[in-house]
Amino acid sequence: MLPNESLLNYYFPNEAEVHWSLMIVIYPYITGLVAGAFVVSSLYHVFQIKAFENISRFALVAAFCFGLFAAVPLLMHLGQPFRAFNIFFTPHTTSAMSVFGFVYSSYMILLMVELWLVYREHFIQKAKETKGMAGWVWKSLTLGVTEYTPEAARVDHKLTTFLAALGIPWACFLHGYVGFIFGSVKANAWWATPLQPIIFLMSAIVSGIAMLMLMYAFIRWRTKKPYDFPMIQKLMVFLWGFFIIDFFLEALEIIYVAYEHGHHWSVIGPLLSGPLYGTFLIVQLLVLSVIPFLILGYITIFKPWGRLLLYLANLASLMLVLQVLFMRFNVVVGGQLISKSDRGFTEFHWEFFAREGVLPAIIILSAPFVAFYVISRFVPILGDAPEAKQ
Amino acid sequence: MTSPSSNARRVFLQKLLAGSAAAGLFMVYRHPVVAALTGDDGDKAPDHDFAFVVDINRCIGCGQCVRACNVENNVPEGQFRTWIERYVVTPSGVHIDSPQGGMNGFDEVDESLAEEALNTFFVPKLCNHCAEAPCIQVCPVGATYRSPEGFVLVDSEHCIGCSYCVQACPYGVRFINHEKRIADKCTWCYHRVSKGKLPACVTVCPTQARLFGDLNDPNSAVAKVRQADNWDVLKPEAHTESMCLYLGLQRVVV
Amino acid sequence: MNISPRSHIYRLIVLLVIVVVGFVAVRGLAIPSSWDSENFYRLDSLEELKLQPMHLGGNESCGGASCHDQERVAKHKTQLATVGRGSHKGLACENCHGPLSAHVSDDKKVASAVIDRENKLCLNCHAQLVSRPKDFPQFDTEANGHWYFDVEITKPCLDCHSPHNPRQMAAKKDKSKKQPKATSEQTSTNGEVQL
Ligand code: HEC
Ligand code: HEC
Ligand code: HEC
Repeated sequence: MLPNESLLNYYFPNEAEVHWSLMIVIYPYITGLVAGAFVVSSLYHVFQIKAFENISRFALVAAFCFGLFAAVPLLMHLGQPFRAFNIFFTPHTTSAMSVFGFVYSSYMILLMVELWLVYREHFIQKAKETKGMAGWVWKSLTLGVTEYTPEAARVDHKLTTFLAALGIPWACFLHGYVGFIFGSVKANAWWATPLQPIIFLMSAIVSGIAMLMLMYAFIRWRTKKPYDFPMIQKLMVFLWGFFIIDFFLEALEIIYVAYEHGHHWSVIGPLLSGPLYGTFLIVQLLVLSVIPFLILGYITIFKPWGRLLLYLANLASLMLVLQVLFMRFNVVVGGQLISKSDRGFTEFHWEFFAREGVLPAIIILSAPFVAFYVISRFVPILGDAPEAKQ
Repeated sequence: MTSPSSNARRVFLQKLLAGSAAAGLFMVYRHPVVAALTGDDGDKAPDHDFAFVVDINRCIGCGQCVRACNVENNVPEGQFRTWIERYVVTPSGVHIDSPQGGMNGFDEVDESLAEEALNTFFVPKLCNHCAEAPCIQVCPVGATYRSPEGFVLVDSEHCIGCSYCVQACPYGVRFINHEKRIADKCTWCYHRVSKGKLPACVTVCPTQARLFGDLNDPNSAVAKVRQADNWDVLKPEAHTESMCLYLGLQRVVV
Repeated sequence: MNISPRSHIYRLIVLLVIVVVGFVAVRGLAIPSSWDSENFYRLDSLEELKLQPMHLGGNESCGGASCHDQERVAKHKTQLATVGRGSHKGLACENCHGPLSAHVSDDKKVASAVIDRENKLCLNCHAQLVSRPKDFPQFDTEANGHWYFDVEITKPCLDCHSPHNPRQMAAKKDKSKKQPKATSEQTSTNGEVQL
């Protein structure tokens, strides 16, 4: 079915290529994971959800690992990656994208400072124990302050809470702005909605929580440590809550456009019944949303325990992690399939080895986990020892 | 003995002479329509305001403009700074095509389609050099801008190739140049106009379906078109203040 | 040792300040010198864009202002005048003879201009297409002149039409033998003969 009484699928000659491809699909995905993981750690630090005490540090490290690679897909995508710093040097403030450099780097600094405060005691201890080169590295991480006094710990705790609180609006900003980049493009009917930032934000939190669940379960399984079932139970309740909001907004957007039946629907209708039928309607909205919604609802209401909880939680989390990945794809690529001639659709060509192909995307998506593994060799992340307290 | 007043008069005369000599040179060496960007290096802002007129009633779809543009600007194969579309409106719908951007002209449509056609015509497309250009707004590094004379241009040394401008343009005129890996689009042949020539596509158009000129010059063809006020712009709902005025634009055209 | 419980924070702040100052310094150096911070672009880019070489010269470059071969200049001027008189007066020489840069570059002749005698050249503009404006002359085997001479689309257009002034019929000796009527008919109706 072609839009606007078109007899022939027509797109402008320059639209033969989808300019924002897989790299721009995984870029908001990774930043979303950062924002989502951070929110979990703040749930403990700021909102005092005690169940998350043992994973708040883990969440922070995970957020940091994702953050390390959040900008990589962008660099891979840029036509001129060596000029990337222009975005810092001459940021054009009328552009939503220009603040990226500042939001992203300030957010990473915030994350690093918070991590540093959390791990300072560990750094000091290591600096005292270790000799030689490694010792110097640990020492430089302490910034030369090699005493960890109770007063200093109190200062750290206050500051951590403050940063965690500051981090929430900041994470919203970081991710909401990614949504804004898309939502503010009036030339693209599938993107242009003021709901876009909040949809991006909610799906970011969903993907972050779900990803933490998967990582947590994996690590506990590998290290043969007991699972913290109350924590998992609580995490799933939050996941359900955020997902309901997320799903509701996603559905709302479609329903609105369909009901308005205006100019946008003239292209979005054929888009959904055509190129996006499979990946959006069937996979994203039906399979990967309805099933986890039901599972999470079951977990929340009937409170299963033990193995069953573990399996269900992992299944739902896996589906939601994929749901958000599909959502990013359907938004980023889906929107570009609509020809600006309003008379047809372009085709997305999957590439594997190309610079923006599937392989680089997989490598970039796995890089944070490698980083996490490396970091976990040096600092305790999910130790059973409780987090440093005042 | 010279009175101050006669002195002043002489200075005035000298200036007048110099001025008219310069103006005379200008007239000789510059195309009258685009007596343009070079010359006058006074510090006041250039008072040109260029615009483009596309007359759909005249376009014959020969593709000379597309070929000329590709040669003039070394546009990579498969990408287009300008192109021609063919619209065939029938009772059952609209058939639009643009084989290779219309570069090699068009072959006749199928007989059945031709018979059904209620209305059919060619539409040349190019950058609209919008006064409120979305592409300029979204460029994160200031690598695209509107020159004082109204050309929307790309700074090829500063562009990072993020393609946000490509997304923002409602007309699909921007692309990422495959060879240079930066944003690219029609410049209205800024390099030609600054030397007193017309844009390449205007130069070669056999039917004068493309006109280019200065709106500030009341005698220019574009100023007259604008004055006559029977023009339209593409996608007026996008509110981009397009500077490409179309004559004979039908509502079916997007 | 008696250190303040906030000393690590102070050190961190110093570190951050160094980073920020370093950034500001680097940024100061990295902003292009001709940056117009009000209109937000690099002014030099205008000058750079002007340097782009031109490939098309337009008809004004065919008058031979810089050409030393006077004989050729004269010939070109004749063609210019011929084209300027007839129904092809709106055309650019480059429509049929290719871009100037392939013919003359840096005021030197680099190659002969393309001369394409194929029907494709004419049909590019004159083939019959429903989408063309109705008042544009399109090749039609049924049109008066063509019908009269049984002209097929494969018949060389140049046999009868002069490319520079197509209303005027070609009067080449070898061709005129084949189409004596065409020549005579047209010369009489048009009152002009190409020399
Ligand atoms: C419609 C296409 C067309 C246009 C426009 C055109 N020419 Fe030609 N020109 C031709 C063709 C075809 C020939 C070859 C004629 C022949 O040999 O019968 C030719 C031949 C010539 C020749 C060689 C003539 C000779 O006797 O050797 C010159 C010189 C020339 N053109 C100059 C010009 C100039 C100058 C212009 C622009 C004012 C121009 N042409 C525009 C098609 C064109
Ligand atoms: C670049 C496009 C172009 C090419 C190539 C071209 N012409 Fe033309 N031709 C025109 C235009 C434009 C007119 C003027 C139409 C008008 O007056 O409305 C014209 C007019 C004519 C006319 C006069 C029609 C009339 O009723 O006045 C004839 C005959 C003609 N061309 C024949 C030719 C032949 C033969 C060739 C090939 C050598 C040729 N043309 C190549 C564009 C072209
Ligand atoms: C046998 C000689 C002959 C040949 C070959 C020929 N023509 Fe013609 N053509 C004519 C005559 C005669 C006329 C009528 C001229 C007139 O009405 O003034 C004419 C008229 C035209 C016209 C104007 C039609 C109109 O509606 O006014 C066009 C356009 C044209 N020819 C194009 C072509 C093209 C293109 C070719 C090559 C495919 C071609 N002709 C081949 C003799 C010829």
